Amino acid sequence: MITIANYCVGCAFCKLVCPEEAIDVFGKATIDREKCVECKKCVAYCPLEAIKVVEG
Amino acid sequence: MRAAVIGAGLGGLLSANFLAEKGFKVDIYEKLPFYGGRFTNISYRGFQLSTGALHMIPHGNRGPLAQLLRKLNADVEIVDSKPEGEALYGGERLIIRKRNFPLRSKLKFFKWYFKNRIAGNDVSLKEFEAELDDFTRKFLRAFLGWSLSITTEDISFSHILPIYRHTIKHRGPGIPVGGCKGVVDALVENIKSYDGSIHLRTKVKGISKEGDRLCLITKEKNYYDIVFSNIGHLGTAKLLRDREYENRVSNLEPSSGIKYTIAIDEPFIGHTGVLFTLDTERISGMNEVTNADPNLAPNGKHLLMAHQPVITNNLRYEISLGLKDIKELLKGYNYEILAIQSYSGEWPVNRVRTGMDIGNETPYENLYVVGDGAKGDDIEVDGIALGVMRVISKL
Repeated sequence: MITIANYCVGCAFCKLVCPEEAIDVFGKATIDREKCVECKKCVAYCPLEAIKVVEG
Repeated sequence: MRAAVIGAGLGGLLSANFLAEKGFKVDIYEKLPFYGGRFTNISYRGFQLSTGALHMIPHGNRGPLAQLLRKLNADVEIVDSKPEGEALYGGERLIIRKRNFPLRSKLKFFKWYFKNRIAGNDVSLKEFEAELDDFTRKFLRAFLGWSLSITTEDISFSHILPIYRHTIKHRGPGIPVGGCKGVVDALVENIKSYDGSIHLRTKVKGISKEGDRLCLITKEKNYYDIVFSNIGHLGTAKLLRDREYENRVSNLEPSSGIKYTIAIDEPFIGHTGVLFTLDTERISGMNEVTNADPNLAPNGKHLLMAHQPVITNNLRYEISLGLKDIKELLKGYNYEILAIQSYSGEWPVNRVRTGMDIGNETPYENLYVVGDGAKGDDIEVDGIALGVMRVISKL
């Protein structure tokens, strides 16, 4: 499962690179788990390492 | 001689290009999967969205960045804005030129200008703006918000003077063809031609001083004669685990801003300059970069950007005010907001707010900080270019 930490500043790089349009950003990023396929592209593009993969 | 650059943003790439040209073997380390930092593009639904900056160079072809790019033979085309700026005031559009500002306010400016030059007197911009007429005051606020992501409360009169002087000397903005990515691509091409290496997805975990050299710790250890850090003073101090340095720079405040990227069918601005918005609550200004480079949007579409500073610490509230302004400004237009991007804290507009810069030096003589954490006295990327030049001229 992909999680977004509270210290996300909302730069939206994750939204721009998400191939599934599963991320919305309004001050902070939020993720639509129905759409997310866990490709982890957002994890790589987050400059603050605020997006993490959590098992389970 | 080996040189390393930490962070492949604009300041890092400019420095790397200089070092490579001077004969250093350069390694650039970048933790993200792309170079350019907050000065490049990400393609989104056929639009070239900037990662940070507004696809604009504050002083166009005449400013410090353009001069530096020419010096480095970087192949960048910049379209100078024409008009440079317009103000939307009382529902009317006015070209920004000296004669549109009332004489009374111009005299107030020169009063403080000479008081500062002769007697060294300073005044907060908050006090200064109280002496101005409504148009000039609102323009000053819009200019600060658009260019520096600050308000009149954040800066004193004396700190705005260098920016005023640069703007009089180098004048208004320009739009690089290809957007921000057009600039960083040209720099990377140059760096590669000198056999420099860019290591993407490679995080620097620490720096240690070993003899005369600096050791950069990634997955391996590499030794360098000189290191340029493009991650700000605080980030650099943390990599060094140098508490004294960290304490000294921990009070440097960043500037925060919000950028709205808008797809619009018909041009709203219709030219290549900035539209400063004076009737709004938060939005400071807008630009429409497709008037300079249509390839930044799909065929028949325009790319409009709006920017605001963050004034309260409630980001969602700030965005709601910005969106309200945009709705009012674009009434009757067919548009879609593609992205709302906010920048603060450790990923801000500027790591050090204008007026607070402490220079490029660190406690280590072969380690310099460049980029938005150590700018010269100019706006955004032109300030970054000045900062890089300041260091290079010392080598």
